[in-house]
Amino acid sequence: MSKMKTVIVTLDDEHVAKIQQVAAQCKAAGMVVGESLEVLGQITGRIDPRREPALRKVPGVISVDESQDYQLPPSDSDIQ
Amino acid sequence: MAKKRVTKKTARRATKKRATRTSLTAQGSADEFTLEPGDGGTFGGEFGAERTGRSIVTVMGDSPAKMKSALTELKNRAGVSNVMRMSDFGVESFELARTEDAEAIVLDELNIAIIDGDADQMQQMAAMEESGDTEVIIEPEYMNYAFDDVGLDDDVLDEGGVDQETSIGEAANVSADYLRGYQQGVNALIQSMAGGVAVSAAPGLVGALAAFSDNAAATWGLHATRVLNSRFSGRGIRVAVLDTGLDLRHPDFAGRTIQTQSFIPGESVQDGNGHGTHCIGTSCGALRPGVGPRYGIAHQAEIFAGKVLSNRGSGSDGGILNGINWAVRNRCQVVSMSLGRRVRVGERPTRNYEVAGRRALQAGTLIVAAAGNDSSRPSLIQPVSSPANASTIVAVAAVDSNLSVATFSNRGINPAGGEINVAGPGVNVLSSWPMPVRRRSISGTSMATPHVAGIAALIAQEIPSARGVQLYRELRRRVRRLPLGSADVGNGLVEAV
Repeated sequence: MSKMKTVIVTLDDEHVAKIQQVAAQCKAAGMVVGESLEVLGQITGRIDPRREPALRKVPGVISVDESQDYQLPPSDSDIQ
Repeated sequence: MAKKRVTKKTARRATKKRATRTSLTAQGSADEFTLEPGDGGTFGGEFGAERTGRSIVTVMGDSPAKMKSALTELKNRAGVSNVMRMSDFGVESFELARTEDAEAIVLDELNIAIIDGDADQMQQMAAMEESGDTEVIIEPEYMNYAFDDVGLDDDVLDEGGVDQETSIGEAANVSADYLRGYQQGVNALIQSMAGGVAVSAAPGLVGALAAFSDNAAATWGLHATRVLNSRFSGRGIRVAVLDTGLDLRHPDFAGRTIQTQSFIPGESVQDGNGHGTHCIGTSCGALRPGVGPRYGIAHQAEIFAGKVLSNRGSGSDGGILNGINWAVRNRCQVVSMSLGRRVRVGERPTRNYEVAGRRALQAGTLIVAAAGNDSSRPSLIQPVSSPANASTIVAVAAVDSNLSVATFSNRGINPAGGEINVAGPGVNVLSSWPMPVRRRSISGTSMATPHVAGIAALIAQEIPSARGVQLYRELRRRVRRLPLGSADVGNGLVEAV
């Protein structure tokens, strides 16, 4: 079992209104679905990298991007 | 700014492939989707700007196939050949000389082509658009925008100086624009002298035209951006600040309408870091704070404090996009994001922020984001961070009180949205800090960004029709031109009036 990857799935314009349906299909493709961002047409969640190709094939999915991390400088820094 | 770097060549390739399929269903005209040069044309027209002689062709929708057929049509009907596609070049391998002979330069990522044809060709193209049987918008390129962010100057000329920029095309255009900027700078100097604001004693430095300072009335940043000259307050406008939250017990925010939402598991929106309180202070702080000068801009805006960074200052795409979704759903006209992740030279924006920014714009929400503080000028200059590098998100650089670019401020180096759009005050910025400290002065593109967001809120109140892309157009029109490279400061320093 490889490590689960946190991802953002982005839908095409046509499928934004059908996000719940797409989310169900993502789940069937092996994604642990987090939240559906209905206005942006994006779904957050986790996927085993080996199952990512199947996730990319879900109708309406235009991209699967790995979630990136952000870090501010320490709060006592002069430059933030 | 975060340090993580991820190479995603393969992911990008896959994304591109899929884009072809999706685009068949894309709706609307491309110029609603992007904050790029096609937008500028219309605006230049309203102000009677001179034309460059070039035309900008915007392909409707979001499809490489459509661009291809548009180019075929341009060739058949207007004889435009010698096409150069930016996508054929990496940033490192790009040869400037090759652009000189090109009649058409195609910015694939933006679905835009810049056509440099003769009068006859231009006429053919106008006829082509008028005939209405083609899916392109053809607009003249205006001189104001030739210098700005057509992509070429910002992407390729890493020195960003005026001389280098002159070399990209018609020298006369650029130098006219440069002179216009210089003239505005001189006018500003005279204005500030007349207004009693301290003036820099360094007349020999091109960048140091005027110096502003905090005084009893307001911070230097509010003076420099002419916030005190605006009669607007942001009333009726919703500003979302996606950051570390807000000190809800801070006396300077007493009585304000504040909506909050935390996207950090296990943490309330109460700011245990300080960064968020500082940023909200600049964008939306009080007209008369309890202590010291005014530091806040949209003092009657409705505040939407979304916590997407933890008290330790960390966050991830999931929380940030969730925050954007929340702001758009709540019809916030402006979203301020003083956050970013360092990217590599040559790295393109991620699809998720491109799309999120576009859908936000379509819903009437303008997102502004920090360009990043990874540079250490003059020795080290880094590209604009993600997500500010998305073409649908406004990238904000920082200037100091001499209106010189801040030493840490990143530059527009990368293609397809990676340019700087505007600049804001970002050095020694006084604003609110969680109690008992109350207020504090710090620097960063994080501090420049809420200046832009606050001013966008004032403009949104002033012009009820200015939403999304229209708000961006108005924002970038109201700038003080600076005698600095647009790769460093974009269109210039934002102004409230």
